[in-house]
Amino acid sequence: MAKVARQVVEQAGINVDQLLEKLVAAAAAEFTTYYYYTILRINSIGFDGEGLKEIIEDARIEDRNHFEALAPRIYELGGKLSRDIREFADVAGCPDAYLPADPRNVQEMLKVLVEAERCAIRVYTEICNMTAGKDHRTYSLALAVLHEEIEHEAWFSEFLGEGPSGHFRRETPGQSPYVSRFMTAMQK
Amino acid sequence: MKRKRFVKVAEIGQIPPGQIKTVNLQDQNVVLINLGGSYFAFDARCPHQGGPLAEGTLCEEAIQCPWHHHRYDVRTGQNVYPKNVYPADMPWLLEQVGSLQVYRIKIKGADILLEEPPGPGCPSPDGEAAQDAGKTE
Repeated sequence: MAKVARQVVEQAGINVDQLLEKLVAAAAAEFTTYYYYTILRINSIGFDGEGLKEIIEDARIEDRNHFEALAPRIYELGGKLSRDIREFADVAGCPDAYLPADPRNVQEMLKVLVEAERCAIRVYTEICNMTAGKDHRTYSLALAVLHEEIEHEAWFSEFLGEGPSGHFRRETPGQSPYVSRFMTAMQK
Repeated sequence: MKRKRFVKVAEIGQIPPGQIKTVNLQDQNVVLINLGGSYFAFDARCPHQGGPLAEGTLCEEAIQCPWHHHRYDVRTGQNVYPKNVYPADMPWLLEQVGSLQVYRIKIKGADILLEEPPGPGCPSPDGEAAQDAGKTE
């Protein structure tokens, strides 16, 4: 734990235990989503050529990156990840993104993906609202993740016919243009 | 004749549009909300895992639980997410997406009244008769 790092957040008026619950729930949601997106990506056969598969892969790897970036902050603040992965999955802040009953139905697949991203946007908006002006490091991290989740939603909603995302593909799969600077322990 | 009993729980001026207020009804915490001048009431605990819905956020006509971000239509209590994306071939998941208990509301002057739920020992409130059991005004 980073003692003073936690202390200054507490002194700023944040309930750090409550914040940690949110961060752990967010990290768990990223981890489970990474798992489920692996299945979704594998099953996205021939949707828009391989176009959908590519953006699921970007979102999948970036969600893993979000987990990687969140974990150190949880420990800095005196929190921890569950020793039991089953318990960890149960506290995930967003529902599981199951493969649809008919994996050949692209609309059903996209609905799962876009709803997962929308949930993530809500999760990080809450964390940003809670930490803005008080916990600068968590805020900066949550905002970086939020940027990427918003882009993910736009990618998938574009395929649902909700209008252009305005984006182009990542330079490399799962590049994490906003979050990568927080991934100090990983080779980028 | 058995009649449903409504009790005053708040006044209109106490809940500005888009706001949430928790009230007590027969030792149950109930959340009251004002959606553009229409009032709705529902159980304060998320049916998924008991999350505190009074701390949730309103998204149009849905209340979102802060714990796992399940969303419920406040007008009907129906789970609108993730029930909408849970696969039909995994029916056991339906246990996680049960409906939120909603309460009937009456506005009388400036008072907000809620219908009392069936008392202990009453059968499942599927029918009007069950809901009316033991209720007199």
